[in-house]
Amino acid sequence: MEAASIPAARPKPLQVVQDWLSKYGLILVLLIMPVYYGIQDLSDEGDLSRLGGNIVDGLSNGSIWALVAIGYTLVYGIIELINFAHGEVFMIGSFTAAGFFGTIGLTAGMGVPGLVLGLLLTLIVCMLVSGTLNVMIERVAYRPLRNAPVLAPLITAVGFSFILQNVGLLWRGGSQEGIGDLINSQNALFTVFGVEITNGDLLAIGTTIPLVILMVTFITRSRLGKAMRATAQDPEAARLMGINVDTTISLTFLLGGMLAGAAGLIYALYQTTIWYAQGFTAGLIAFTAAVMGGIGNIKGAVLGGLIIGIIQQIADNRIGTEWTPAIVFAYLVLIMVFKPSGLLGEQTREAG
Amino acid sequence: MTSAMGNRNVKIAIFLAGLFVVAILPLFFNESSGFIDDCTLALAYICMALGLNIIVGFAGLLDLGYVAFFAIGAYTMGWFASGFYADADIHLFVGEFASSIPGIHVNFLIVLVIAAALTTLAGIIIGLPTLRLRGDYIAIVTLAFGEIIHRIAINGDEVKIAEGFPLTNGRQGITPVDKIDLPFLEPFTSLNLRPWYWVALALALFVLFVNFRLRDSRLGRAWIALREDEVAAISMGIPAVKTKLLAYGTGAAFGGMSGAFLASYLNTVNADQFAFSFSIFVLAMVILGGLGSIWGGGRGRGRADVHQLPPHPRRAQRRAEQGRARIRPLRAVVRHLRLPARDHDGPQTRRPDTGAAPPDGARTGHRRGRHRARPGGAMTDSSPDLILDARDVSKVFGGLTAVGGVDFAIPRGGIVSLIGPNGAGKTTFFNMLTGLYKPTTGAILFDGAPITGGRPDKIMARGIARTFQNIRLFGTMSARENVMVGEHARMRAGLFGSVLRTPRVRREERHVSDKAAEELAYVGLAANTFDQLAINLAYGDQRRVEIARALASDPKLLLLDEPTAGMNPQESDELTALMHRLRDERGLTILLIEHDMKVVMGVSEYITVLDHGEKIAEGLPDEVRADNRVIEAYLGKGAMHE
Amino acid sequence: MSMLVLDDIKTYYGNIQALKGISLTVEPGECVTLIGSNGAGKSTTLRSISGLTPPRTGSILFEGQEIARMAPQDIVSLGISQSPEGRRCFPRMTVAENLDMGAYLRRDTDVEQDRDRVYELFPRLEERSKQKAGTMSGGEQQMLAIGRALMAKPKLLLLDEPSMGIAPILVERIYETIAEINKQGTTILLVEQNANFALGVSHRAYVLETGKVALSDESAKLRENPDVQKAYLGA
Repeated sequence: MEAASIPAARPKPLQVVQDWLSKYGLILVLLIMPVYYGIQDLSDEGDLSRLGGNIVDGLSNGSIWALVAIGYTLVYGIIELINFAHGEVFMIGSFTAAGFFGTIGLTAGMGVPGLVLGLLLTLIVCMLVSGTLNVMIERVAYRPLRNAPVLAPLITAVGFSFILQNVGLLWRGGSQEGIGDLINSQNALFTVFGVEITNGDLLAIGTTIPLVILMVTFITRSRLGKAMRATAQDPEAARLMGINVDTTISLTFLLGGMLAGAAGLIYALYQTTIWYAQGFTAGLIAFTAAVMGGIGNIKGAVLGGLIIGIIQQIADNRIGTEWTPAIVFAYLVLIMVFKPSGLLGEQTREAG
Repeated sequence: MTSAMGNRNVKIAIFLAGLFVVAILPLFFNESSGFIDDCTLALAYICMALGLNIIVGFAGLLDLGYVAFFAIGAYTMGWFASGFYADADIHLFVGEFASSIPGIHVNFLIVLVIAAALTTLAGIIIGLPTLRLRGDYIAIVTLAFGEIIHRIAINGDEVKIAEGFPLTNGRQGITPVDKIDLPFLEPFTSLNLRPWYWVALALALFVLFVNFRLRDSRLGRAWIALREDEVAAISMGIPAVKTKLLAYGTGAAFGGMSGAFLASYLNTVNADQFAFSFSIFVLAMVILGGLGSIWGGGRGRGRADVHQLPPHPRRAQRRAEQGRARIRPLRAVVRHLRLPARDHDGPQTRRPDTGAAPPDGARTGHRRGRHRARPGGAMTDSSPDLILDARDVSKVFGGLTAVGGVDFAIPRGGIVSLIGPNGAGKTTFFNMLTGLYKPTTGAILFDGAPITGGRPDKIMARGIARTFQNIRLFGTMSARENVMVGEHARMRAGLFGSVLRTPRVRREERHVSDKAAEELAYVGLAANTFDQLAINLAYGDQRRVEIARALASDPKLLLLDEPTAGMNPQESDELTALMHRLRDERGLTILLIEHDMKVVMGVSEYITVLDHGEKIAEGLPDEVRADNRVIEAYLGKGAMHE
Repeated sequence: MSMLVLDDIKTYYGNIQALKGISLTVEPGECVTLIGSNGAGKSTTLRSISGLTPPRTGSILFEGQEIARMAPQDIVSLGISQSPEGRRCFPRMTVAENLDMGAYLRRDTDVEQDRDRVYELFPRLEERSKQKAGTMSGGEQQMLAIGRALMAKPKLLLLDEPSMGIAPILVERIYETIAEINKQGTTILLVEQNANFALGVSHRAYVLETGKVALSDESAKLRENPDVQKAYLGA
């Protein structure tokens, strides 16, 4: 046969390793820390309760990042902009919560019904304040630059981030501020397999899950949600359908801001300390989560948030809090190496 | 004497006069004046901005972690030129004072070289994971690296390289740092800032010089081409990995050199200097300074206008560090960043359209109904001289077969067409020939050697050039520069050659520019449009430039993907004539994908028809036209009497 | 009363003038074609009517109402919808969802009925109603784009290059359908590079050159015009 003279494309050993890595490398990377410390726990203490505790705390923290990350991902999905001010919107959410507690006189001593009612009211206020703020940022800082190259709004975004940090600085001063532990967040509600579930965990996870479900349902089912998706996929075609693109973008910022506001409240209750610079770090972490999950993808943002929460908690607990950011970012880099479009991002065909 | 020459002389005179004023400026001020201080810092920041400009402005890699290079440069100075490592006792070409104290003390110039080397390395390491990433992902990964380096700087006092040798001194900072010690200049002290100023000026001029030299070089064009359209760039023979890493490395080196200088000037290397806001500060300088004019490319060639820096970078810096950076200059940003006017007839979408229609109804599974024989008649028996021979080539995307087991051969000097319904796999097939996709199975021989799954730039260098279905020119480059990019693979100038502009590089550059003009004239572009921006050319002319760009690499095989799409019949006729000329005058082999049956039937000697990724027919134009399967799947009955 | 009257509209992209004073009319029930080479301003004319690139000067009257400075969504709600150049389907939405987006502004209850009508015109779309638009072939996406525009129940349908990049057999089919849509009572303004087919289905045509109307006549007569034949029909 003539064809036999042509060397066929036989997989080379290196190629096999590469293929294997691109399939399983990411999972491997994600499992390194939990597995390593899990084995350590087993050999040192005989059970996994410490790791389990890390993971539960991580999930609670992570659900806060998930809420913030959704805001990044929604905005990026629709106007392809990293909304650097989003972390500060989250910070303002925390500050609003702290302020509003004082206004309505919410204290830990109140009975459960009063507390729940008060917190629900605070939740609504925080969501409204942060949502409105985010809409305003879009109007002032991004909309005028809609047709400018991507770098211009990026810089205004960073500028707005600085402005809001200063607002926070003026509002509640430059140092970490403790706020009353309204929900007695470290109180263990019950214990599963030696892992304590605290009030704080319940609050964080119990608020996040319904909010995420609500958001996903809204975006996939409702008419406005469909308009958001259409605008994200092709803004010009969306306008030809009669969709008011400006309103849709505002709506996106509103939703993102509202989730950040809710996250701000949870953060304040869970961590019981707030300060003006919390937004910057939180913003970076949440954006990392969004990218990790595959930006533009809501489920990815939630997943990324939870993963980062766990990594953070393990790093805090085992290695030292001062190294945590470096470890989180190292994870981000590794994930980008193994899966350039993020965990759930769509692989573009062009990248080949 | 032409006016252009006169113009040039005037410009040089103005530049020299300006340089003279800038150089003697400190003499008019008190030795320790705050003004000189401001200027010195500004010059050091300019170095960084120009370094970042290579990464962001030229190569389009949005780096938000540039501070990492500042940090590494500064720490290099801290490690090699201070009393920080008091247990060591190394003194290398340093003055009396530094010789008398313990620690490692190395001459500033040597440290500068080490800093440049270390940061180049860091640039490459940071660049590596970003190579496969899109714009904003690059931003976040570089940002992550910046933060990692910042964290290491903060906590580095816990990290011991050896006993007594911590990596950094955390937030306390390494201080004091050796003063620069150079002959022929007044002593460098905190009371006499003039020598500092001159060193900073020399550094800035050096970096500026390199920037200007690189912009109009083979490498500069490759960077801009990658920025404008990566797929087109690699298809024109630009090795993406190497070229991008060169941008990271070069840009980083300048950040490192400036960082080493600043460490000495500020007399401390402190972890708090290396926060994210500094990256943003440098980026803002780049954008305000002229990235916009490169990108905007309003008229003529984009120009790195580096003279418009913010008035008081240092104050802005301080403010940025305190989280109070003003955003007033934003209006300036907006003005700078206006996009060039778009296409006449509807702006292009911002979403990439590969043109490769997704596998239409592609099906998984077996190949069937492959034609029994190799191309009949003239093809195999009498002329075995095949320039391209693809056997059993298939491509599967996530379980969907886009191309399934296609045999395909092109005789040398032939004009062959590939036709079929949308989504039949024609463009996918093209992309496998040019290396953009790796075939799932099969082998491709080009000119007797296997090219299966090779890198696009290497395949291009071997002699396969292509055009794209939806024109993919580098919009902010002139027509001539676009064609010059096509010659990349045939050129040899490297980084250093381009900076030094050796006689050989000059000759090459002139030759390539002339050749580009020849090619443009050959495809029929009017001479007065050669130096217009590609994006401003008429549609038909853009198609011509694309062909000229492909021709510039002296290919043996030219692949044309729907070249007449969007052309009126008259333009199509001209293109048909051009194809004949290319074959007859230049001996080129042409493979054509086309929907316009008039063009296909008029020009092809042999036609292959794909449907659902499989070959359903092949033969001479008349045979194909009469084939029932082709009529049913593709041509329709109307084509019979066209 | 004419359905659509463009009076001397001038449209710019930045500083570049794309339309240098276009005037044309479309009568109710008509099918009108704009032909011309690339860059002549055909697509820009449609974009100006839809409000995507509003004209700087001049007037556009739709059923007697001035729409030159209206927002795109208001223009759609008056009854003008467009199938844009390059199809522009929403790639990550299914065929059915894409069609729903076409009916975005409608509040009436006949949407179902219109969807059936679209499926009747393009049976292929019904077969693929659950498929993501981005995974379909160019020809199918073109059908979807036209169907999506029809879902707005337009009085005036704007079609931009429906034959671009489509296999000959599908071009035929799409033009048969365009003629059918017109017969069913929808007024059509068509932009086409492929003048042969376009002149076949339309009643009248305008020839555009560098942003101006160079010629206008009944389609049948333009087909016989030697200059048009030479430049646009490839005779």
